[in-house]
Amino acid sequence: MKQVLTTCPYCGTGCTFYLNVEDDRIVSVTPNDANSVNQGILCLKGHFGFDFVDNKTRLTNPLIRKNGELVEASWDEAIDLVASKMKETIEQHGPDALAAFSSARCTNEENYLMQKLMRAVVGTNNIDHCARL
Amino acid sequence: MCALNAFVVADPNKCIGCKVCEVACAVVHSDVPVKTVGQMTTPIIPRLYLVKTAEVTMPVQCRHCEDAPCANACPVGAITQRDGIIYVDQEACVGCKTCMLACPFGAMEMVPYYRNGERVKQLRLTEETGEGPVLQDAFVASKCDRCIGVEGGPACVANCPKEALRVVRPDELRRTRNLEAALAVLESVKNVIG
Amino acid sequence: MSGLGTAFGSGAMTNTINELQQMGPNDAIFAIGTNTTECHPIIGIRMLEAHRRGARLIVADPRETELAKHADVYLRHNPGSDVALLNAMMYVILTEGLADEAFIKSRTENFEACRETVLKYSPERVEGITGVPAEKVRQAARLFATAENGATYYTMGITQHTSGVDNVLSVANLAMLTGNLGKPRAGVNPLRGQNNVQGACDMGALPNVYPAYQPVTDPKVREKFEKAWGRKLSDKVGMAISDVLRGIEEGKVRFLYVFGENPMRSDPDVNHVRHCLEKVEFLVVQDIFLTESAAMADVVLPGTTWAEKDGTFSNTERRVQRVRQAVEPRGNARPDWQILRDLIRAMGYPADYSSPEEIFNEIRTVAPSYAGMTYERLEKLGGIHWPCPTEEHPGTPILHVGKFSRGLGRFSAVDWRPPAELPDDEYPLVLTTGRRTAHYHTGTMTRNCWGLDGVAPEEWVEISPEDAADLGIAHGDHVRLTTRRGSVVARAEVTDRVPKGVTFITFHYTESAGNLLTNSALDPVSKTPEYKVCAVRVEKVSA
Repeated sequence: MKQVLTTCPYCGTGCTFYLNVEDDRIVSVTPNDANSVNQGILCLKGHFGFDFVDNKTRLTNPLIRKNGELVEASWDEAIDLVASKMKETIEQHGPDALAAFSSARCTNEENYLMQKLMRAVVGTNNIDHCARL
Repeated sequence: MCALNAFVVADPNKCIGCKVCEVACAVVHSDVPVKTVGQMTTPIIPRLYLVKTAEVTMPVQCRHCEDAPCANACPVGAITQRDGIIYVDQEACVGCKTCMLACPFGAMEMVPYYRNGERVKQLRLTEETGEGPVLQDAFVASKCDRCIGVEGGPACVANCPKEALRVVRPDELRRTRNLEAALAVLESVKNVIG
Repeated sequence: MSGLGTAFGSGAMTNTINELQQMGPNDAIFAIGTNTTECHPIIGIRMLEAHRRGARLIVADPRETELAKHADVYLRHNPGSDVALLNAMMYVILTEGLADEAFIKSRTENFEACRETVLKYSPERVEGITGVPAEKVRQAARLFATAENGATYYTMGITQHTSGVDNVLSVANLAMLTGNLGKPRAGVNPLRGQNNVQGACDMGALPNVYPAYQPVTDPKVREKFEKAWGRKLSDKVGMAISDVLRGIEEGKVRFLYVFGENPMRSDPDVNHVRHCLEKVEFLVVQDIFLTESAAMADVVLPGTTWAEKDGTFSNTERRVQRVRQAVEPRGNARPDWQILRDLIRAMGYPADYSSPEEIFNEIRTVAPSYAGMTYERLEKLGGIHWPCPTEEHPGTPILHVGKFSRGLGRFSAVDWRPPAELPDDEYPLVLTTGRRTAHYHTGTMTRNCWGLDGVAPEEWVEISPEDAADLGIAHGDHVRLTTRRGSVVARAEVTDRVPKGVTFITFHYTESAGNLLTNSALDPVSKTPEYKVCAVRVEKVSA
């Protein structure tokens, strides 16, 4: 069994725990004792809130709307389509016609890239996230 | 076995009503053994029940009574004492709910019966539907078995973040209380002598 | 955040969670507008432990939460009356000579203006607004002000009002008035509801600031970022979420990228959000499930869960901690940082990060408060509190020690204003919203967890026994809640937890989405919607 120390993905308390992994599946959680906010304890979500990872309804392929339906697509196709739409919108309506909602669930690194995409690449400050919600 | 039956009890001053105990209980009692709750395919059926009102918050579960009213009331002898717990033989249970009436703690619940992850049907009892008679779903009595045979003891106790749950062993409890009382007397005598 | 920025110069939690473990008889905990044991259970547990050790516990909440049950003084104030309540507490502290004069004199400014306003709010005078007996307010004020250290905790119960910023300013006033800043076991502590909402703010996922709260309108700052990123940058403050939705309606915003959010459940007045998402020309959603928002997208990009990627989260106490990959990405899903990197590249901008650590090291060069953190140090120390300016710096668990981030702490004169929508004949009850212990936010994660959804599979709306009796509603009945914006059906939980006249719903459930009902009226400064108060009608639904 592999044990991986990580930070809880739920509320802002920032409890840390070990994900116990067998055959690439999380089987249980062990609260972190040392150097942590939670010092050996966890709540309901910390203990039992990990199985959404392997939920059958996870998105596992990019989807593109074609004739009104979302259909599976390759990564190259999806990324190229998003990039070309972004470029097209910037050309036709200017950078402030684009906006992004970033994610309070995702990592610092990802939030940094998202705002850099909007600010440095698109050229707008239309970036926000649901801090208030 | 001459010792009194141990039981799990919660401290309402500590419990925050987080339901870790309910999920931990359901997982350990899953009809098909699972490593994680996410592998379960049957509903979450805990054997202790969180009470959460404006006055009090704590889970309630079976006391494993010495003269168990549920066992006394069961018309088919499905409830017996075994290895220091009051045990429900779900195969023998007919779902008459007399035990529910008898239990002063509400520790007994009628739950949908699962075997190997499949919903068990009654043997004969049918209900008329538009498409003919359909076998009824089976319901059986269910309650705390103090996680007999589970490594690390009762799952609710082991997982409670607040240490609000504990296993009470009545004989130990008496000795501890005796000691506390003796120390309290000692303390008050000290004060009297000054 | 706007509120604390004005008062202290930084919008973050001033102190740390573990200080609760040192709290005892000379300390006071004031929890207002936070259902801590349900929404931040570990912090709630620490509060109750501190209370058992003798710390004083004062709770103010319209709902009698678990924490309220344990409180030494419980103030059940009317939804939206926070400013009046806080001013009344300060009135008592001022008139009974319990204020920390030395702190006010040496560390703060604008006290006179605040004093003048507060003196209009005697507890007796505001009883009609708050619904709290004057004597209870007096008790609470004395209990808090006479403690050696007093820590205030709050969450969305304070901020999600049209007077949200005023509420926060009042909390800050109270803390300064009692000298409870810049020392342990004290402070003003907004508890963040999401794992990395602090980090998203720190990283500049906000329309007015670059990473580390550096204003986009400051030419010097902009020049720095232009140099770092090699592009000319906009000097115009961007649009907040509510502005974007309006912008779509007005045809100004044509392309929307929604990353790991579900505005179709999280935002107020969902019917309006649906209209906007339908209208926008091109919608991209990056998520782990086909959420209600993703189902409306033109392109859906499958990201990964936190267990499938590396990175860092910053918790509510500004502690930056590692997230480590435990399992492989599922199917063809990709770590979100890779998706964003590839998109930046496809837009013709250089991005060759091979790991989140490389991105983090770039963040350190532009965000001074993160400069001294390395993955290695985070590993060794189990997390570092910002600001951490150099690699020798131990991090800053407590803010504003000796000096506020803005220099002097600034008092504000704050008057109470009523909520935007009050009950009337047609919608006679107050609806307030929040979370339940088993679930989280819009339920994208928790409702896909067998155990969590198993113990809380459906919405139970809280209604008081008095209102239930008036409306002929029994516990467990199905009821319909209707506001000016929408209508949902859920089960009724008849409970004393809510006072007469108040009902409570969550926003976890798609089938009874609380935010179909809520009012999108905003705080004028922070643009936070008023989730916590709107007018509602409740009716029994015959089965």
